[in-house]
Amino acid sequence: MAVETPTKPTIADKIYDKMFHNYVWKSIFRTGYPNTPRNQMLVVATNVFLHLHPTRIHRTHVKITHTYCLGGLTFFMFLGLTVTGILLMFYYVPSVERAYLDIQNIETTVQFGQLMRNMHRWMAHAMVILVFLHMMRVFYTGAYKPPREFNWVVGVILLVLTFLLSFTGYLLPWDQLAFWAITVGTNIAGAAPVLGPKTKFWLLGGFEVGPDALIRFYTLHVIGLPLLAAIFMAVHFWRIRRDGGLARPL
Amino acid sequence: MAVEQRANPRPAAPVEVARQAEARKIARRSFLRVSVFAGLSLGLLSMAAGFLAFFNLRKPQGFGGTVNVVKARIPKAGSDPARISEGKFWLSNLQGAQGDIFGVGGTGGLLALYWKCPHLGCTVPWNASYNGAQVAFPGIIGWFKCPCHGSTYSHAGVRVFGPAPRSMDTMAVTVNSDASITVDTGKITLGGIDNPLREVTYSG
Amino acid sequence: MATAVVARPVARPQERARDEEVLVWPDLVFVEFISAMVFTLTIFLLSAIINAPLLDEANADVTPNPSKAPWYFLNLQELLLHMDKGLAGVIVPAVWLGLMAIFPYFDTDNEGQGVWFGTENAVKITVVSGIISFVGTWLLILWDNGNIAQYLNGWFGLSGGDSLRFLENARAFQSQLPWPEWSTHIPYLWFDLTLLDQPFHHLNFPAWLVEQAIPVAFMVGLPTIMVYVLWRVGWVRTRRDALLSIFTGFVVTMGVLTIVGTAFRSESEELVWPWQLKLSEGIPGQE
Repeated sequence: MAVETPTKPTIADKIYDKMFHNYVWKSIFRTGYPNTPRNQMLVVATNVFLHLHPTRIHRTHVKITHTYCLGGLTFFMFLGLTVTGILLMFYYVPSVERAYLDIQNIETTVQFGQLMRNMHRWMAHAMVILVFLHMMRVFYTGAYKPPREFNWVVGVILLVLTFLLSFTGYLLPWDQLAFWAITVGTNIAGAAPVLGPKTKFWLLGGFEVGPDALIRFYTLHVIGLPLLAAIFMAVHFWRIRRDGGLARPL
Repeated sequence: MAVEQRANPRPAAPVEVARQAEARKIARRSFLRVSVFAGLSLGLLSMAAGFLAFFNLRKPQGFGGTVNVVKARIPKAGSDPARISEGKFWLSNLQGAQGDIFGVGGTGGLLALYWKCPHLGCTVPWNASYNGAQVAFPGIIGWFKCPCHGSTYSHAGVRVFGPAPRSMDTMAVTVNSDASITVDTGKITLGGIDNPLREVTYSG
Repeated sequence: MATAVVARPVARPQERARDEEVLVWPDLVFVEFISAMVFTLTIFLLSAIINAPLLDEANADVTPNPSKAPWYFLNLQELLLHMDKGLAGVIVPAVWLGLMAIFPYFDTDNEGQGVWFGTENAVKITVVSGIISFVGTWLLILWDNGNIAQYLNGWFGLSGGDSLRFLENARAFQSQLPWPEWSTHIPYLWFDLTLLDQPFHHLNFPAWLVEQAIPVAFMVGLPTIMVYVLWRVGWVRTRRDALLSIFTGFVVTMGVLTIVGTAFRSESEELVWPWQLKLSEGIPGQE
């Protein structure tokens, strides 16, 4: 009776084995390559980043026309803004004397500086648009309905935080566009009845846009608001999982 | 799908091994997967290179980079050298064969002398009143005189006395159109008695 | 008798339908990966082509004309032209955000979730509300800018004469009607109240009418009428339908206001066509 003998391993087999079946690799990635259903579920369940997702998901939710990935893309923009923003921080000093010169320096002498600044700005615009579109998607698909009431509220807070993040970043180049946009913007806030002037004074650290406003906006922009947004995002994502993923018809 | 249906909850070991071997073969041949991961790695690599470039200063300032010296700071021909601290050098403006102690043929001009003593690295000061008679060059007043071990150099940085192994090192000088000069402090040439030949003609 | 705390059924997540599920890897992860790549490339290309604007250094002594807020606040800046600035800039957005946050506590019915336009008339309501808001917002802006009166006069030769001039725009109610002297300072408190340096004692009735009462009446009244009419027509049947109408109206109105504020407002906030727009890219006179 003929017994099927396994084929002899080729060089490529041996290289593959050496690379991916060694002790170190296995200690990092505990599952094999996700090309079997078992490994595909394990990779999602054991990877901290993928663990944001369940291992299995309802068929209708992966249809691109259901969500257009808007929420995920908003988060992706946030990550991209964090990366480009941190890079820009290396060359930017938030002082009235230096801010404008630093931006010019970033644009002219820093390698890829102009590209980083452009990306930061366009991603910021994209994030504002995406977060608004995401809200429209959630509304028109009725996804705020029970049991997701509170997550909608968290979403509204995140919308406001996105506006504030973008607004505080607007002042930092310290050019005419920034200066007057923030002057107009804070004047709008200052027009609130009773509390308005005090709010504006508190926000700007003075009666008009100046050095104190710059450092306040900078601190809020690079650490205060991003931290707050990250906390609310964590709640937002956690609640999506807790409430059984995306909304679907009863 | 077929694989999924065949797989038992607890597959027998040989079956599992064979199945994995099969899956590995398929994976190895998967051109698409290889290209995706190759593309991703390339993208990440180029991004890493971009990050490195981002942190690489294009126009470094201060010592090690180029230092600009405006016209007002450049000494008159024949007068005492000027101390340019941000570039760590003395700027000598020599008149004719001034400082050319051994007569190698200096014709005068600007010389940027790295102020670090070639002996043990002390900062060499300019001693404007030091008389050359003490080092066998009578009549010449004004020498670079190292305070550590007494190495003595002429106005052009040429060593005449002391334990230093050579003359003071020089830096590359370029004269700009607006009569200022640019000194490349990263480009240091070891000193020698031919220091006067490195003088750069200047008529500011 | 034991007091059993009965959980509301709505508070529980839905049952999983396991036979309807697919694997996250590859079905979802790949979609996310591709969309992230598409966005990365788009942003990259955009950044390579278009540079972020950088004007002259900030100068508190030179005000560019027009001075505009960031584009996403231009809807509020446009509202500012038509009503009291505190109302337009703070109260309207704050009230709206508050209202929006309590949407799910107003519409607690969990029917119709998870699909686009979940109710029977949803698409009709959305489209009609959108059109009404689009046209209505434009009409209101043109009216308050005095353009409607101009068109009536210029195209049809209609003129109301001086007796109807107060209808020209909202501000004309204050300036063109013969308000008696006492109406500009009606005391509403019998003592002098000062809150944070701001006096509260008298009411300037014509100004109050123009800057607050008329705008609020429009902003509350028109959506109410819209929802009421859609209800009488039989399209709006549930709270969800009403919200659909109001939300669509808001989004479209804000969109129109943003576009007008961005592309139709030139020097001194004058209403012009986009191709006549003057952008203050530099400091006037120093370009």
